Amino acid sequence: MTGQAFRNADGGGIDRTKPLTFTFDGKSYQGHCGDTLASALLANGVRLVGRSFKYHRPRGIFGAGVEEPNALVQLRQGARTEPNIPATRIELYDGLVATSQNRWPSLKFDIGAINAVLHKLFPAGFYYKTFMWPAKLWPMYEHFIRHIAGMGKTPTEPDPDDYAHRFAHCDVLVCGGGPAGLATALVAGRSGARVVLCDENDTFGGALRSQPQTIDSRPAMDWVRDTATELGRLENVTVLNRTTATAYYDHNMVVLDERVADHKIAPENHEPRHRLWQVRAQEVVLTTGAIERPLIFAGNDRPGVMLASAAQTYANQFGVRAGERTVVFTNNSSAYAAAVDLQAAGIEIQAIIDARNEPPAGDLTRAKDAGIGVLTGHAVVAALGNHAVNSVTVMALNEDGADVTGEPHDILCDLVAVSGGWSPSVHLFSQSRGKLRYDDDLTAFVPDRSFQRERSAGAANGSFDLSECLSEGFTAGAKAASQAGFEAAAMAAPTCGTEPELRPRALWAVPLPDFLHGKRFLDLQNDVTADDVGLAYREGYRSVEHLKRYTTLGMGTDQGRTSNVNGLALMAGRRCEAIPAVGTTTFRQPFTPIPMGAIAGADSHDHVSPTRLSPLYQWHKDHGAPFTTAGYWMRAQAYPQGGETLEEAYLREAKHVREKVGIVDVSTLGKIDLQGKDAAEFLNRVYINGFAKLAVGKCRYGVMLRDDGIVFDDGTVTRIAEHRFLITTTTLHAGAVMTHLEYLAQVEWPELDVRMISVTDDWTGIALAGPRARAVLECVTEGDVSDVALPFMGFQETHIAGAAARLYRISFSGEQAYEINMAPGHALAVWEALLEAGAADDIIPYGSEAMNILRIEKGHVVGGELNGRTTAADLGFGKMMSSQKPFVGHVLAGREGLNGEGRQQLVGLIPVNGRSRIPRGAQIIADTGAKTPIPRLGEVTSQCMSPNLGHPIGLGILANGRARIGDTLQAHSPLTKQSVAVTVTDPIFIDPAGERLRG
Amino acid sequence: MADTSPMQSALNGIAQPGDFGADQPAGPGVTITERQGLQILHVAGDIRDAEFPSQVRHAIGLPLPMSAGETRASQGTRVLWLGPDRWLVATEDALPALSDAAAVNDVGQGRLVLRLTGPRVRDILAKGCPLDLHASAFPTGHCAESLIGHIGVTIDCTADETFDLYVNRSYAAFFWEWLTRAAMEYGYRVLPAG
Repeated sequence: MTGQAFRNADGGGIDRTKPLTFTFDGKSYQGHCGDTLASALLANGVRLVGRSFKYHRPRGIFGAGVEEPNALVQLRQGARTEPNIPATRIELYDGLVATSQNRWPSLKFDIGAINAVLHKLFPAGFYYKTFMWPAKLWPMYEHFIRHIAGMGKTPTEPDPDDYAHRFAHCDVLVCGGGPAGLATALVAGRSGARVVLCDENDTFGGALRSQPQTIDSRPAMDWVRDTATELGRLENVTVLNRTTATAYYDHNMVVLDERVADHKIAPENHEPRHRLWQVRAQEVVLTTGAIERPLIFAGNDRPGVMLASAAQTYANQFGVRAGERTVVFTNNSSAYAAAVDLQAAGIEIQAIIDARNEPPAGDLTRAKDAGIGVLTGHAVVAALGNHAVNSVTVMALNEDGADVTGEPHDILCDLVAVSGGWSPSVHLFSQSRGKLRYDDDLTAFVPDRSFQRERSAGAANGSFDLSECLSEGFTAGAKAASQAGFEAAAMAAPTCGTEPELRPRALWAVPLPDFLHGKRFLDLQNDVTADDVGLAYREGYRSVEHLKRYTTLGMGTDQGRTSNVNGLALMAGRRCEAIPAVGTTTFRQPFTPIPMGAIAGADSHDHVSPTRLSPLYQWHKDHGAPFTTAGYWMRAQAYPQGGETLEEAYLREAKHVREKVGIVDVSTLGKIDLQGKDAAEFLNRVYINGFAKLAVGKCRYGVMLRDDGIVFDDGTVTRIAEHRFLITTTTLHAGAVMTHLEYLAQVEWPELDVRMISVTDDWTGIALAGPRARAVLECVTEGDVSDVALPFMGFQETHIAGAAARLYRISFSGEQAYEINMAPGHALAVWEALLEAGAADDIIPYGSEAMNILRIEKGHVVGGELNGRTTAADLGFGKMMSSQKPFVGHVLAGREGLNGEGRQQLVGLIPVNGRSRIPRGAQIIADTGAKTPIPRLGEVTSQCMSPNLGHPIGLGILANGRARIGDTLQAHSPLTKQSVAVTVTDPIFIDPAGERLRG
Repeated sequence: MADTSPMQSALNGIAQPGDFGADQPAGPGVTITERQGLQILHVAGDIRDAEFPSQVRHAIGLPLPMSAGETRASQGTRVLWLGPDRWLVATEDALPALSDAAAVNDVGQGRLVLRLTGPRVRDILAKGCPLDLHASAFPTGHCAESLIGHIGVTIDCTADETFDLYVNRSYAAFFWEWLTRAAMEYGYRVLPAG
């Protein structure tokens, strides 16, 4: 073991028999199993670990857990690199690689540190004040600022790891596995309730891991281990370590982020890196502990200034001395225990500087017994040094703490352990909408009124004494279990060693004497100083929310865990108001940062949204079809042959179908089976046209409206039997139509005897179209498909290529056409049989692009025309609207605004020059040279090249369109700056009389 | 006239038998089998109708389950409650003939049916299903329609640590990918379709 000069030979929870090698900024070091990166760096005497956000000041390790504001590192390399990870939260593993951030060219010599020299130029709100003008240069400024004030670097390669989501339900969720959380989980678990217990650390015990205490005369960690073991054995208890309860939402839904493999060089054996839990709990118990606050004095950001509890943690949990000689500076009693522990770990205690004039006698006795000198009523006014602290200046505080007096004394030290009191971790409580109360005795906010079925216990509840933590935990566990319907046996709290009360003296920032310069940092991560609060106040940003935005106090990855209370207390002082009157900023999710990968889970790459495939998908793929999406569906666009482009392929296909014959996969159309004695009546009420008299074995085209009279969807309805119909819908509206019809049947007309289900997946659809369609059909069926037996809009149940099939004589292309429906398992066989049987007739498969051309040529409306703004009359269906019966949308379709002059009506468009493509989505205007704003007459809704007409065509909706047939207008696209002169025509370009489809 | 046309599974070319994912000394976390050849009927009707429930009971030999999530089973046949007026009948036997009293659809080929069995089956489903799948909340004999991995799925707990999943056929490939990825960390075995 070499180099770990600050590691003690024994003590702590690390395994000295398991050395681990890691690198920081390219230099190799050793640590031990059980270390964090922070403890291993300190063991190796590495104290300078980063540069600050704004002033690029040298920074060291300040905390020992999630509160760490300074020691943010870039973890790992390449695709797995992650920025801004606190070194205090990184469990050491063999081969770990970390680098410091926000410095160039090196940590020791950082060019950006000139910002610190020029600090007078960079007050709070500097960016707002400086980069306001000219506004168009902001992107350039932003780039520059991001570089200078940047934090870590995001990876540039795709993340190679898996992330998982997990839903869970329980009776009692316990957030935090310290003494209070373990006590809660134990009582609730023994009651038989389903319990989930999570803790952010690798091991349970919370503060007991670093603050040795006793329970029933045994080391407290023995009780922790016994309890964790029992909980692990209970089948009804789920115990999650390395799992942070990070967000608390309505209905007791709490999100947990489980770091499954972050403590390894890479995930093993297919495990995910993170697992994001969505837990729905009957009852929640928050046992999230508390976080120590710093004291604010000049130079309090220098490496070597550290929370007293953090220095204590490094000594007790990791056997690491955070320095050789320390000054302990406190305003409360908890630092006395820390001082004794630091001394026991071999750190020389220069003095305890206690801001209180009369600390409790117990504290003084404790210090005296340990031979530690105490200076009461004093404060550290400055920490001196450059890359590390080398001494502090101490002065006496006056009575009200508003000034320092007397002779300054310098004390040599390389560590300043500070304690400014403790803040309960009320983040989750506040997220749950619980109300906080300011406790003057604790100088901290504590939970007051719960909003959800939730309670706090232990230090999170402002109870810091171990026996209180345990008894509150037992009580909370019993109450939560009984609220969830379980009987919990009462448990007597064990006997614990007592710790003195905190009794803090409120001291939010040590006054800066006149003869000293230096910044007193409130928020170390965002370089916000005590003076910045004064500046914000003077400039009118006096609400705490404004203070936060103006100075960035409490922002960033640590969310101001060590700075918020001091900041708002200073603002309260400026405003001459009490702290609770000033209030707190909102605590937001997440408690600690969550990787984007964990949020995405498995819903990434090709699984961002579901994909639906036709049973013929593989055939399309094997035959070279590119695909397009229609809703979730993948549709084959065309089948390019021998080097054809996509466009060449679909133009060929569209021409071929009108000349010969083709088949297309139409499985994506929505299909709804409707049955019941009142099915015909139901349809009569749903569609604008009549269905009561539709004969069995016949199809009819129908249009349905929304309640507001606008066209909703269109399709065909076929009467399969007296009380059975098949409804088809457009691909995109299938789900919405089903919901609409179910709503009508269940809510509006429950008296009607109708049942419906979607059968889209149960019937694969193939359309056979073209002048030779019947000839092909006759080869694959023994049924009579003659024009007499199966006329246009007729229906048969038959067999096609040996498969039971439904055969509809309907046409979307305007050609002689049939739609064949068969069970999906037979679809491929039928498809191939059609191609084989049609070979003599030169049959081809065609895709969605050709299908679209064929329907535009026939003026059939789809999504572009059914755009949620068009009425039946606009689209030319006015005469279909029955006056003999009411139907959905009937009343509101009669509104004045939906009728009469100026309505945009469906028309056809042809370029005047016969060759220019009509711009997609173009606006229709009269004159491109007119003075703006140019009146907009309509829009192009569909457009294509028509291979059958030999020129481009389009459909559009145009004000008074039918009256404008023959006019010349402009189709103008401001987006592509194209303008094409178009002639307005009838929307049906081919076979307006419909002779081909009846042939 | 009987069907003479060849049939194709929704997982044709997608599911390969074998062991995949994490090595688990105790065996795979879940074993997946596609249940082919199952006859599935969607039956809808009014239970207040005098004839409907008794006719269905006569045809399938089981009474219709009447409460939410309830199932009825006999050798080779299961009846699942899907709603106050609709049920799913899945049978390995010949399709029962049902009278006009019921609105019936043969949905056998429109569904992929997977049988999942193994110690981690609930852990895998809980990755994408928001329902409480704990044995106390979703015991053997319980069924539900819910989402798994954003896809609508009918879930039927047929035995201890055994679930049948009914997935609409067009989602079969997507769901198979979701399921097998979710099962990777626990290890999974695919058996030949049966």
